[in-house]
Amino acid sequence: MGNKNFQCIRTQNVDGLTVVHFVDDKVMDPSRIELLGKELAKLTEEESSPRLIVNFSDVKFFSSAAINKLIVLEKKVRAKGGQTRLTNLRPEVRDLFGFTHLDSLFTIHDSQEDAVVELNGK
Amino acid sequence: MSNLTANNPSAGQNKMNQPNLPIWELDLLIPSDSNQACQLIRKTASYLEEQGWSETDVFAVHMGLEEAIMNSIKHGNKRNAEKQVRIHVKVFTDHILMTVSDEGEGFNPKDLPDPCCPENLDKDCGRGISLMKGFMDRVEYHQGGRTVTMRKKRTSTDNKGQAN
Repeated sequence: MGNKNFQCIRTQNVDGLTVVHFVDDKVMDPSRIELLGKELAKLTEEESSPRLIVNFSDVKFFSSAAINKLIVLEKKVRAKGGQTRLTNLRPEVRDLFGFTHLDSLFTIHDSQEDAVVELNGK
Repeated sequence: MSNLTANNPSAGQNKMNQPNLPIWELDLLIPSDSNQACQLIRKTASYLEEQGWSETDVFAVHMGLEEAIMNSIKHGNKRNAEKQVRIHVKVFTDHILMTVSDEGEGFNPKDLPDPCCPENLDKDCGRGISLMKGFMDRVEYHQGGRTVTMRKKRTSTDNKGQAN
């Protein structure tokens, strides 16, 4: 799962895992969020058991419509026996997951390194 | 944004010299169009940033306003382009008041399923009210659920840019 010609996300391979960064610092524009959803879906299509780390370090705002795309991603990854981890959430974005109890649906790590260690069983 | 401000000549007016009045105010009618809503939200957030509101506060206001407007467009007006959403934002020196009204049938928030229940967690709707309540200090519904009023107090850690 290498880099693709995405507009809303950047991907890189780290220790056999796919790390996803967002291009926009404010993920709120409806048309961009639709495209984001399609690009996230592509991430799940090529691997039989995707292992994704979604790194929020560049994100200052994340709308609930974008959250819905993440939920779809998580369900698709889980259906294929894969794993998704969220990392580097600023406190306000972390609150977003807390207020909606979505922190019980997603596994959230403070740092990308922590997620890599956990997913690779080191 | 010009098409929005043209709807109301008072949009974005600055009232810094009248201490008992909001220092900035938007009062607009927009169609049920999420793109126009985004412009309005960005305008409000930009003003707060210019006034030195903290990133945390601006995030909260952004989230509350977006959820309220999107709920009105999606659930209230059911995306009917002929129906409008009224957004009234009043910024004071130490807090912000936001009122969002739609032309829908209204609803009772108590009748909604709890989006935080495990069986509802992965559904793609219903989180708006949880987010508004989480990020705002006060959320109240009026007019049978067609109007929501939200209040957010400005945190006191960074008050630069406040009116005298």
